[in-house]
Amino acid sequence: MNAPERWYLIEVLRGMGVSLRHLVRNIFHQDEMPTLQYPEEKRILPERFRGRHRLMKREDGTPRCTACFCCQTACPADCISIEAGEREDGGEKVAVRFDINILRCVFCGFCVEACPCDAIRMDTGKYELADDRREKLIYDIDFLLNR
Amino acid sequence: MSGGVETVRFTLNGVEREAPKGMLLIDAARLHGVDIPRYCSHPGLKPEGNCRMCVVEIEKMPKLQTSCTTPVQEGMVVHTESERVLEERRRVMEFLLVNHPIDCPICDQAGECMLQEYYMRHDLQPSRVELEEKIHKPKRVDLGPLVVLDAERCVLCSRCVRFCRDVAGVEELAIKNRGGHAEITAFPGRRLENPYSGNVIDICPVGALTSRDFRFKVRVWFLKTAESVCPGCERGCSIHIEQYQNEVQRIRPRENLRVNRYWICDFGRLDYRWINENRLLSAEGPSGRLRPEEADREAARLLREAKAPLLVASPRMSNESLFALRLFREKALPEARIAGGSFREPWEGDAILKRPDRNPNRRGMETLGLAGGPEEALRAGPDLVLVIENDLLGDRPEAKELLTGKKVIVLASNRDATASAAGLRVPVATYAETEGSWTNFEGITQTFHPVLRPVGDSRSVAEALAGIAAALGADLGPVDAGTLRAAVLREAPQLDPARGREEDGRVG
Repeated sequence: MNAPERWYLIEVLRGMGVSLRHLVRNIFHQDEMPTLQYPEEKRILPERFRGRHRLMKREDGTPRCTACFCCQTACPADCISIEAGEREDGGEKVAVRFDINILRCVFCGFCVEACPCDAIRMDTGKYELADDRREKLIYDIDFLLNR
Repeated sequence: MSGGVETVRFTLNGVEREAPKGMLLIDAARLHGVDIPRYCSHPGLKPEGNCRMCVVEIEKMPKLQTSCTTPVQEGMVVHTESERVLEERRRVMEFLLVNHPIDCPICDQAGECMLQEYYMRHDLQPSRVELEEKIHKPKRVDLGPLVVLDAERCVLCSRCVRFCRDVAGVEELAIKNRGGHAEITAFPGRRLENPYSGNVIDICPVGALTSRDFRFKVRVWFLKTAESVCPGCERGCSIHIEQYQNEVQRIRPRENLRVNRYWICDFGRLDYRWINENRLLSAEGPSGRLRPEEADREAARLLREAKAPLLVASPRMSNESLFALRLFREKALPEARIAGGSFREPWEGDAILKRPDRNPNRRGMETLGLAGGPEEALRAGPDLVLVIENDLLGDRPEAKELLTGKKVIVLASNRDATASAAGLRVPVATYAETEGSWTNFEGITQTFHPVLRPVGDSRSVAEALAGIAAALGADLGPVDAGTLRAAVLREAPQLDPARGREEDGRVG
């Protein structure tokens, strides 16, 4: 610590000077302000941003997921749980349950990379995932397919 | 090779080796750690040589030879990894994959599929066949009560056909059509429903035959496996128990040439649900749930008050548990009578594996001097009966009359009929949760190992008995399986699991 820093009042005044400088600057250059008027205004995300997961459908509307458990195997946070069942429409296997516990998810994207069927993606761009009950944060297959 | 067996010398990949005379080349190579890939060859079936995957180069023979049908000869010079052999394997793989769907994510065999493994090891070339050009065959064919066939995934190795004909002794399966259209089918009007049908699932090298019971339940790479013994009958087949999330998911045969060779019956394969379901999770007395130490005290009080207590051992108990029961009587309750046996009705045995007696350890129980039949002992008028791992009422409902008017304490893993009728129930662990050994009708002792955590408050039988003994003021000493087994062997060396193992002259 040098002498002016030890006399903290000087530093306080210097800090207020910085604030004042930004205030004046922002008043006259509002378009260059680094903050956003969230939630009215939202940031533009990069294309590869990993947002909330979604499950993809085939052209006929059935889930693409064949319950191969590759995503569950790859998941380092152990947040995916799947249950497989027989398909009724002549195909073979389909996920009858597919839960993502978003409270555990670390958004690493390994599940997306592991999927051999392009059934799970994280391209929704959604990151506002807060909720008021834990149960609502375990996303089930209907939620993931339709939202 | 040890004495007595006639051997031949041959050269395997440039190294001089020995093998028993007449042994097939594929087995002789395996004996020396050289694994030759195969689909149709299985040690439990007669050689056929139809898949051509196991071809090797033998010097002085102009063509490549199938090692699964060629016996090893004196002076033979064999190459299993030469350029010519590897090229041939690549071609065989390409041929087998011409019409095979590439749908490992769906297929239940992914993770234990020989096609997948050998593709990675020997092929690794992209398909030259367009997806639309592949010949489509029926999927999800209902072959029998246990087996579902996907004809598209079949590589026509005919192991299943030969298993039914040669091992199960029934003509149920055949290959119909020719060439690319050939497929496995049940004979018209028949189904795959012999009592050993499940074995075709294990021997199928690809995902063509899948188990209706296990299908899609768990991916195989999540399973944890332990060596165990089937409790279904006095044969005591060697099995693997596989668990996921502390529930048994699948039972597979474990190869043991002295007992069950490579097979188990369908009953044994499906005899696991009771381990997952309807378990007794905590001790229960007349006033409801009890903590383990409360249950021990309550049992001790009942046993102390009894004038003529009877301890009923079971031929389903392990040798170690039976010995612990004897210790318990000796040290804690010398005046008690002891009887062994069950009321389980025998079933019809067969010439393959099934034995009439449906208890896995009658021989061990008899060897430890605990036979004698519970019926006479129950008629002799005890005022308290301690039943261990023995569902007397479930096996014979008339036994109710033998138990009426008596206080009943039960050490049981499941909420069975006897446990429900008892005044005091103490939970014990099943064979899948403990270590122990059973001795089969031929005197072969096999050990089983825990694969699950004991559920609820359940302890091993020996630990439960030691707890009750402590409440009675007696000390049984250490009751882990190792200590008890050592004590068993001091008295009955014929119950040693290691005995006769060296006679097991098996290959690979």
